[in-house]
Amino acid sequence: MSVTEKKDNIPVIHAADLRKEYLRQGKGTNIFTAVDRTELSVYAGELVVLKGRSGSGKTTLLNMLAGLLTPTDGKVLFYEDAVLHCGSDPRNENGIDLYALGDEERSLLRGRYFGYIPQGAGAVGSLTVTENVLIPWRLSGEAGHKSKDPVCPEAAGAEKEIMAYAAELLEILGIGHLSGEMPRSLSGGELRRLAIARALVTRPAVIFADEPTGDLDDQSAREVFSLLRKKADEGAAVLLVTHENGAEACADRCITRQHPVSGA
Amino acid sequence: MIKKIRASLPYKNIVNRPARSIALVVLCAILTCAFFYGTMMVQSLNRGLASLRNRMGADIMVVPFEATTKSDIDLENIILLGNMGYFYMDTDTADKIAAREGVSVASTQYYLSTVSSGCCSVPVQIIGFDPETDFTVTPWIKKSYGRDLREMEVVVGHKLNAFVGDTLTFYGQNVTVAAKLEETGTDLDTAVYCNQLTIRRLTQASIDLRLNHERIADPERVVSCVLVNVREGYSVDEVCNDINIHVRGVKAFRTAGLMEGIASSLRGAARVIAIMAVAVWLVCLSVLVIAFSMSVRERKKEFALLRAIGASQKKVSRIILQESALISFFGALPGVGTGVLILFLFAGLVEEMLSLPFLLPPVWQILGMALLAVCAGVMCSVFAGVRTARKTAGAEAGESLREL
Repeated sequence: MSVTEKKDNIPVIHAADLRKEYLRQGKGTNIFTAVDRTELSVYAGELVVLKGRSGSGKTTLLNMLAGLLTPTDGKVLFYEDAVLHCGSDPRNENGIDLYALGDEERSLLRGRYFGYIPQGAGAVGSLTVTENVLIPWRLSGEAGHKSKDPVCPEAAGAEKEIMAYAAELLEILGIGHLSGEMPRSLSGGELRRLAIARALVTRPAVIFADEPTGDLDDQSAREVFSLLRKKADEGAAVLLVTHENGAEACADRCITRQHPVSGA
Repeated sequence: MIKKIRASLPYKNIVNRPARSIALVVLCAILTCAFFYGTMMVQSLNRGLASLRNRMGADIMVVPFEATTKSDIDLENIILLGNMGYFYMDTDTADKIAAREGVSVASTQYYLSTVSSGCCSVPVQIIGFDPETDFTVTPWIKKSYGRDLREMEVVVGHKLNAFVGDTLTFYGQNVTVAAKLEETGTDLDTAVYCNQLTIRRLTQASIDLRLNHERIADPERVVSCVLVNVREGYSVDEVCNDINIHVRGVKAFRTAGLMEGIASSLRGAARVIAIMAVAVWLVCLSVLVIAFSMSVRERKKEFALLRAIGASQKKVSRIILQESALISFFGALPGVGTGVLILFLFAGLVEEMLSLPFLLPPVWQILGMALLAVCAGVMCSVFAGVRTARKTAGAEAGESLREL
């Protein structure tokens, strides 16, 4: 299946002939192909909505593109000019092959360029809302300093600025008043908004959102979609997995995935 | 540094989950306490034995034959542990022993037990020695006193409640405390040492007061035992047998053999303590591994989330291991503290219960072991977290996020 649509500009992230197989243990051994031979590009400034029935491999595809799940076959290429200075440079003319990078380098890249909103509510229980939002910034700062990366983004000196931005995001998402609270005192919807703020705080080049409006009411869901649209308009590439019907309205493209393949 | 630790995620994970953290801290404390206390107990027993061996010094000990047959005399404990009791033989017999072939040095000792009646300050075992020939007591008396004892001067054991310059009364005779000895970990710590002139005057006094159980015609003509060192080139067994065959009315022992009973009891006690400590330690370590694993598993999603937002496998591993190191450090300190407290508070009771030489190591050694126990506790906990950390950090974040 090919879902690539060429645009004039260069894609930020590209799935090249991507495939993911799982081994299902049970009576006999089944190989389950969650994603099969998929091509997908997401461009800067573009919001792509990925739809499909449950079990159609949307999350698997998103996780592979986000550098979180090693594909069985194929490549995930990340294109960004002169941004990453890795010791061993697996860049080729087609971009950086995410899974050819070591874990440290891939994690550094993920922290600096990707924003990830996971399916379901997720937060670090021992940190306050604000501290949770700031995790990606702290992680990328730490890793950037450690690797002596000259293009390390927001360094320690920019702490005030990032704090202000985190506060602004929390306000936009309607949980500004909860900034000092611990995650255990937040509702499912509030936790979801926290995850969105956390994904956006580093102003990432690519945003991966896995059903970000799952616990939200219609009004809040619309606000989240328009926020993601705004980020795309500001130049980010956004890949949004959702079941919500209103999502297409803010999308540049909508891709519907078909059923995966099972085989012995 | 402390500010940095307090701001770190591992520290916050610990303080924000108090129940789990306290349980783990208590486990670590028990683990460290068992390690420290067990090691200290075994060391104390070994030091007691070493101290006993050092003070024994002689190859052969010869006592009157009756001392080995009378049921009211516990020879081994009188000689080795300083328990109270006495027996006598003629000085002629001592001369005969000294004259045997293969005997290099023979020195006599004289035992006298004081009583708790008004004539004596305190009931103790008094050990008299001949300064001219002695090679067992004089070296460690000189270490504490620096010169030979004069008549009616005594050196007291470490635990005797008397100080240098004090006057003690035995059988109505006043003696002056010239020095106090180092601790041995045996009842010898409550014994009193003096030269032959002093002990003979005290023996005569005990006879005059009719408080001596033995029939002694002339205290100048008796001794309690003869300590023998064997000449080079002779075997201890041969000389021992020679004395037993050719000197009548005595029994010669190899001191090594005499000490074997106590050494074996000590080894047995040390082994039991070591096994118990290792058992407690292993149980705690196993529980710790399970507890850490469960605690991390419970937060698998959190760690997967951290991976998803930019933490490397190494970073996640470090967070888990730092957390276990911090918890074990917080547990190791009170654990060792409790161990030190138990050690000092109950040392006397343990010594009494074991009835074996028990000598605590010097303070610097105890502190060194405490430090080592803290390090060992931290290392064990980090080890307990290694497998969990590797497994958690190594899992693909995409998979972990889906599982939960």
